[in-house]
Amino acid sequence: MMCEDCGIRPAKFHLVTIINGDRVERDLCPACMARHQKQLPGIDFSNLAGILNSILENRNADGQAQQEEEYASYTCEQCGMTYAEFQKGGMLGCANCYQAFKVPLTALLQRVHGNTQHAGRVPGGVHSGVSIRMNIDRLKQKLQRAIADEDYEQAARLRDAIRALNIQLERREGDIKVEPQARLSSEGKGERSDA
Amino acid sequence: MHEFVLAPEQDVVISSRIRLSRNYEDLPFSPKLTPEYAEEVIERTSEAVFNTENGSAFTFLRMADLEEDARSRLVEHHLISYDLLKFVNRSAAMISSAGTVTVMLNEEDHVRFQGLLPGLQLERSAEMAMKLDEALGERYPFAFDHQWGFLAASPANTGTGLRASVILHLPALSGASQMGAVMQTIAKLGLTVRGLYGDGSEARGNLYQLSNQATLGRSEEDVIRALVAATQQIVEHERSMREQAEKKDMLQLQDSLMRSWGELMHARLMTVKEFMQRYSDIRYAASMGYLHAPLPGLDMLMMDVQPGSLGVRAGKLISPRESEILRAQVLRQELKKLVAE
Repeated sequence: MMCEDCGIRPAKFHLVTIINGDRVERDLCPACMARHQKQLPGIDFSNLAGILNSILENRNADGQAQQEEEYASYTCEQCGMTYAEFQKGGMLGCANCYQAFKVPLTALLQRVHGNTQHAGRVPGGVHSGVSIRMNIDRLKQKLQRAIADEDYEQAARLRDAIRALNIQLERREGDIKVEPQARLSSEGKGERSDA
Repeated sequence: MHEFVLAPEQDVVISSRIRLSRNYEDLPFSPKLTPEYAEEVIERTSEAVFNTENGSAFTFLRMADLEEDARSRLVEHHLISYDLLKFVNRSAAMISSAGTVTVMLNEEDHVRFQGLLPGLQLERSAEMAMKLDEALGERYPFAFDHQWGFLAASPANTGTGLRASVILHLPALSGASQMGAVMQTIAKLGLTVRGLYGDGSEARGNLYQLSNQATLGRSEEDVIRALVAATQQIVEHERSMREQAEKKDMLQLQDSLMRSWGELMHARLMTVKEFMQRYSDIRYAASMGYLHAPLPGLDMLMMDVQPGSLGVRAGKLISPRESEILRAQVLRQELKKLVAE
């Protein structure tokens, strides 16, 4: 079983807390357990992400152990970090580690986040696919209103903005197709009911 | 009567915070960060932040240069994270003059941008953090992958790198033992709620922190929208519980809350633990109009009498007893001023 707090390390402790009479139980790894035991005001909870209680895993325990052993020897060429080292400390050594440990990390990210495809901003503040589509929808509505109001100047501006966003979207989706690993996540993409 | 400006939903929401985690693509992450590389992070970031539009408003602080109380004071005022102090030898912070924007350097990630505002103002907090993120990302590229988003030292933060949170004051819900139900509902929404102070077995001052869990697979807007919606629901719930308590027996409610005012105005020794309960009572009383004290003032005072902040005020190392004496004294003095305003 994995730690319910970090979702990264195996759970070794079972912590029962009672807050105002409400009982909360968690399975935790030693690092997260230590954090819970600390009695400091203003403790930062931002790292206690990834509670896994809603994610069910039905993997064969033996097969998993064998696989984990194989992953443990993976080494990042750039910074020298091994997967075993990462499992112990919970932190990666450099950006390249994400490539070096791609297979186990994909499974880990799926467990922690329930997803393996980024849907947020990209560097430079430009929005990624999902947000771009949302923007296009919004602008299209505005465009219809502008046409109804016979504000053709505004309509032309909106049309250009939509065209630019469509180009951005195509370019982005083109990028994703080029990367073979993107196929792993193709299920999750485009089916977002909340998009 | 003195008028004060309330932030949105400030009767229940104390503050809204956004944190964005970023790492420079060409530098090793936290576990492999040598002192030289840590220095490079500080040089790049501080130079870039000082060169932004409002760069001159930032103060640069190396954690190693600060006394322990001064560091704790920053944590108690939510200006830096507790985790920043895990790396005292290499970490630093840049804090805007208003305290609303902070850049943390060499914490778990190279850079963490923070936007912090009173009340429910997550969107504005996010705007402040993202503006800096964009300005810095233009100068030095952050580690990014089209599939996995912004790469963080811990995979738990990878994706948007965004952690949004609100601090909630929920005395009526806690009093009615409804927090269990609230927590269960919240968990289903992909959010997490926990006591802000204390060690997990209690929520001191009835203060809770509500935040998002996942950072991968949802856009920043989606995450923030979900957190705002959940917060608004809890706010409504808390307000209706407060109204119910008042309807049930107003005099009883006033009596129990205002007794804490009496204690605070006359106590000569005050522990943090007792103070947090009294503070919760008078904040509740102020939100119901039983006590004419500005909520922002009460919240600031709450942070000012935490142990580190009190030590900074004393200007020297003080014993636990001296700390209790000073806390009681500061409270009498400052609360008198707050209600007189």
